[in-house]
Amino acid sequence: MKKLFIAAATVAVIFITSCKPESFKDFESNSAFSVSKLQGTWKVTKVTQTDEFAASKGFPYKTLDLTSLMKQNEITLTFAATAGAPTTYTINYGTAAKLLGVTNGNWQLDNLEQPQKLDLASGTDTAKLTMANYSLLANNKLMLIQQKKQGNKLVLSYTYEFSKN
Amino acid sequence: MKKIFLIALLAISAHWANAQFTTFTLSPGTFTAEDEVTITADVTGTGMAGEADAYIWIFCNSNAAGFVAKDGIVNGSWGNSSALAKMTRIAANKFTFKFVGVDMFVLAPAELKHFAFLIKSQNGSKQTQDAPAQAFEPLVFVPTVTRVFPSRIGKGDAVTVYFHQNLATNDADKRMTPVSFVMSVYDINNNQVGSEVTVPVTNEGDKVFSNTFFPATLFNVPAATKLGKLRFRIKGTGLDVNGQPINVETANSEKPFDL
Repeated sequence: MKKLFIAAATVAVIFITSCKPESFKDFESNSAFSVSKLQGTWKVTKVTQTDEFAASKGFPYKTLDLTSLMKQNEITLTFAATAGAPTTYTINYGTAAKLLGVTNGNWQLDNLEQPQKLDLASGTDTAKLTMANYSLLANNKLMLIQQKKQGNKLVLSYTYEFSKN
Repeated sequence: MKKIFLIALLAISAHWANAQFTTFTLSPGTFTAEDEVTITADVTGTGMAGEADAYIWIFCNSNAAGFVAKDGIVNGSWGNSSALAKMTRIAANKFTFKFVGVDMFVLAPAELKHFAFLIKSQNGSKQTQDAPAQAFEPLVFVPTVTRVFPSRIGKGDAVTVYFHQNLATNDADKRMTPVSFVMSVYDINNNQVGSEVTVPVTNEGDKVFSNTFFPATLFNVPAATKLGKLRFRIKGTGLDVNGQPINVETANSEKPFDL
């Protein structure tokens, strides 16, 4: 009995002493975003068309990969900025369909520190995009979503995935 | 001479009997029984031309097998339309009216197949012909021989047309070897925009064929033009009774532009 107690106590001591504080990563706040991370030329890697009406009803046929179907991987998007503020953009479509509907003009963010919306203006036209997850920027990746509504109902969206060298 | 007159009279009567009121648009172009629909009608050249006030007479499921036909709750009586049926005048001879199917007919979405309407004076002394039946989109997925993706389209969207040959019921459609889609687009006034275009099919396997295109450039749609509908059919080859090759075409399918 005494031996059993000693063995149990030894095991307990080993477990307790093996415990050590876990190191947590430093919290990275949204302020980690900066316009300079968007600056430069981005190349489209994937474009997905989502039938939001079909998705909301649980229908089959919800998404379609347009990347090669519409030659979307030929597209490059270049953001310019001055003193930490957005200025101009240029989209080179190559032979791809111009789904975004704009080619060049001024771009702007709804918030320079924690942006959610990104507008590409060109004359009277504006492509209104949503930034999906800008923590991706740390890996030189960017995801923008274009949503289309019928009245107040979201019925269609395009998800653009970019990468930057 | 009398016979010629009678034949002409009969022909005119038959034409009048079959004539429908078609100078209207629906927004959105595709809608379920739960969506708000706006009817915009132009009564020029009808019995209602020149009237200051117009009332809608709306009804559902007329001649739809398995569905109960019903009048809209706003109609009132033929000789005295309800004030709720009064349309909004937006210009001379132009009127609009908004409604939601399930509310207008007090029926569940599954009980609504289509609706139609005419436009009348409040006392019923003047009226247009009936508009053709306008289908409510089902709230459950119904497989069809032809399909358009996505379900809501605009001229600036990627549009994919599909031919599900495995669902075809017509023998010629079932046996054909699909070669191309023949497509055309029409503006909101039903005028063809650009020319008819023939594009090759992509064989996706399992007797499914498709083509993806960008309407704005495929049909050279002017920037200011709003498209009303897409019309397409599938062209292919088959064999006649002697085993000789023949050209085969499906019937046309149509899809409204919504965005």
